Amino acid sequence: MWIKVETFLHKKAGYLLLVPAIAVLLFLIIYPMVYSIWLSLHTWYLSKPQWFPFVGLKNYYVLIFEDKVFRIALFNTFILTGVCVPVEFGLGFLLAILLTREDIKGRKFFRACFVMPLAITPIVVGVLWRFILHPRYGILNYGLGFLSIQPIQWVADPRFALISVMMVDIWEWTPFMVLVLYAGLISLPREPMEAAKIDGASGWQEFVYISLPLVLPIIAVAVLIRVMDIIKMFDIVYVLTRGGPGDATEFLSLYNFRIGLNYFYMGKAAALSWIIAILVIILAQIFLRVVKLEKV
Amino acid sequence: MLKSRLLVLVIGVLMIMATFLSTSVMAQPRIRVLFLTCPDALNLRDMVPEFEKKFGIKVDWEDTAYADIHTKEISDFVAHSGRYDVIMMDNPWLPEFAGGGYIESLEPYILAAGLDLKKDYDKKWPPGVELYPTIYLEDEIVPVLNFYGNWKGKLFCIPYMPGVQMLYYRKDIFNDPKEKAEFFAKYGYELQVPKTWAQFRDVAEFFTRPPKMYGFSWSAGKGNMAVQNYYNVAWSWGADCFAFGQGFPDEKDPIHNMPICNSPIGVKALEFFISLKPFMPPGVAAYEWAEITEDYISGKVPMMIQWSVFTPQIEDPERSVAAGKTGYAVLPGYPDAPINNVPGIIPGEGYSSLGGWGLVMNKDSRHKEAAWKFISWATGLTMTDEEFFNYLEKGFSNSGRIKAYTMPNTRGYKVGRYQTELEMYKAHLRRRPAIAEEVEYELIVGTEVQKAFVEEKTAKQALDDAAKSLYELMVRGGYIPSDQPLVWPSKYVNPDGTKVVQ
Repeated sequence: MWIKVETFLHKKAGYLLLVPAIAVLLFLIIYPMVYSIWLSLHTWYLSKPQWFPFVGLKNYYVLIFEDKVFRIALFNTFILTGVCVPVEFGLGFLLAILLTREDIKGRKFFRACFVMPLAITPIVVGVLWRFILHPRYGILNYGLGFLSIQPIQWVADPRFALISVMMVDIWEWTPFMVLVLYAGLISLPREPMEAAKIDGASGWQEFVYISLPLVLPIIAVAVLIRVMDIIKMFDIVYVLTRGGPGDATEFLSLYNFRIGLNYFYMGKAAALSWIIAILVIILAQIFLRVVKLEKV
Repeated sequence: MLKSRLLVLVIGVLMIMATFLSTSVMAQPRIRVLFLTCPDALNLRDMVPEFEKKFGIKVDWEDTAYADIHTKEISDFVAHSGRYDVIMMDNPWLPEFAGGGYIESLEPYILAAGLDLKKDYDKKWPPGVELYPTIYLEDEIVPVLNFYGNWKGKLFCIPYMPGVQMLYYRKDIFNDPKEKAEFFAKYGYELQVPKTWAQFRDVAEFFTRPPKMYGFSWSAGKGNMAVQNYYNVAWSWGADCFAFGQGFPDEKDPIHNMPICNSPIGVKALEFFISLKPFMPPGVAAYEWAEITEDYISGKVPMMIQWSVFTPQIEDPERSVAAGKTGYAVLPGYPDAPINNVPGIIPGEGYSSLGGWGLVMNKDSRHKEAAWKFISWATGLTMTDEEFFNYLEKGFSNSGRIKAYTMPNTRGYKVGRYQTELEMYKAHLRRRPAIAEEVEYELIVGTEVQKAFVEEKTAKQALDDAAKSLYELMVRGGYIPSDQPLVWPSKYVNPDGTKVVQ
């Protein structure tokens, strides 16, 4: 009998060891996810918590087809993602290449500088930039004054508010691209480049046909992380503009926060969370297919 | 052997002492309080040891930022955990907290403490509580007490840190003979503290000398700032947001719950609000409250309209060029306002939105007697005169008690703040709609007002859109049945936005 138990334990020990991890997953990830799906199919208003009717997909329908602010937030989120991520990638890649060049002096200093924006909490970044962008006391308008440019109401004018948020995001997150791509570039094997040089390839050809394909998986991961992250943009915009003026800088995450934690429509907020999650998954899949990461 | 016996003896004595100490600590009531992180509350926090010594009640203090406090409170209510015994509540949340059954009526405790609580079923003041009796308590300011705590005739909240907007102006600039002469030459009347919005506009225009100085500082920031500042103008015009005005929604009459924010007088008031924009510093469309004060204390504007709670910064000589030079006045009014408008509005008088916070008791509290003792002490009801004076002086604070505004030795009295503040509380006060969805109301109307302010929409378009969104909000909240379309509530409000005289 004892031998049988011991044999059983020996064979199934792996499963037993998995139990704690599965338990944690179940309680901290799977259960909240399933519960949030369940919640998204109900109307649950925290000010009247006893009222919990099942409404099916109504929360999703209302958001997608009837909610004006949701559509504006979706549009703004796409614009923000579509502008910021390519700019951050372009600038980041350029700076990363410059950092790899041995003829540039002070590379260590610049590398350290690039870490600084990343080390600042996004809320603090928002506060900092609120000062920088202040129409009267801000250093940006002060600088523009030397170029005879009239003061701009960066966060108070709907024409500039979204641009202001983009500027701040680019300032904060370009260094992320720089550091990730720099790490990728310096870890590339030297042999293919040397072989190309011997074969007479120019610097440009070496970059386009050898470095770029080799670093592509790292680019894909960096861009993907940024896309997923920027869709969740909240802290900076909350401090900088609160989504205004009007709805000029309303984004999906900010709107989700408002629905859930300001208005307490928990069912609707859960539905919006799932819409955001599905959106991120779709974007990630499209992106991965476009760059054909699996084949690289 | 002796050593080990001695050791056992010492351990035994220590264990008995520890048991005794822990029993006595356990016997001491312990309450947890949740406050907003703000100077007045932190000032009170420093005085908590005095309360603990006086009443033998241990207080676990917690304070949190504005962005979090509502969420924390609602989470605690919904979970029925009773984590917090005493809670600081922003006054517009009363319908949500009391209506949701989350907070305890304070009346049994007040009566048991022998405090003077009366109800007047005839006079019904301030306008808005006319469906229910007016509540009087000791020397509490009646409109503040009723707007903060009167929920369907029962008292749920005691004002702790009331707030009202006042007109702050630079006495030295207004009294400058050169400025006075120039103003007279331009406008044909004496430069004076504006009593009407027309005068206010003239004075603001006169002092607008960009980029060094602007007429005054205010805000049309998204949500809270835009809606409250706009209504400070709109109320004197006689406009209001819902047909039920300053009162409560009527469960039986959905027409009484219809939005009227887009009334012609509401639109005119918004147009006037926007017409003041050229006299405000650039960027006010995104200002937070603190930035208004910053303009004023740095000398960039000679006037501002701001909450009373900002006075300590204004009178701080190390931070403010306006310290000791500031005058306090009630908000301007609109003498041409129609006479049959909102009850309680007198044409020509100015009105401010009521702000500020009170203290309430969590219904799930397990230490209600101790919680009441803390509430009554912290709101000044049972503080000694010396404690009360020290509290006011230390933080330049205010209170819901009339006594706080009439003690001549306080700094607030000496600079003139308390007298004006009390006048505002007594007769120049309006409140935001008494609905549980007040936070959402602020954002709906505040966003539309901001859109009009930055010229994304006309005033009419913005308020029409706000009315549609408010109607949807009222349907969601169950105040209007979904089969009842949006209509103008002609039974209660005339087509121009004035009240129907019944």
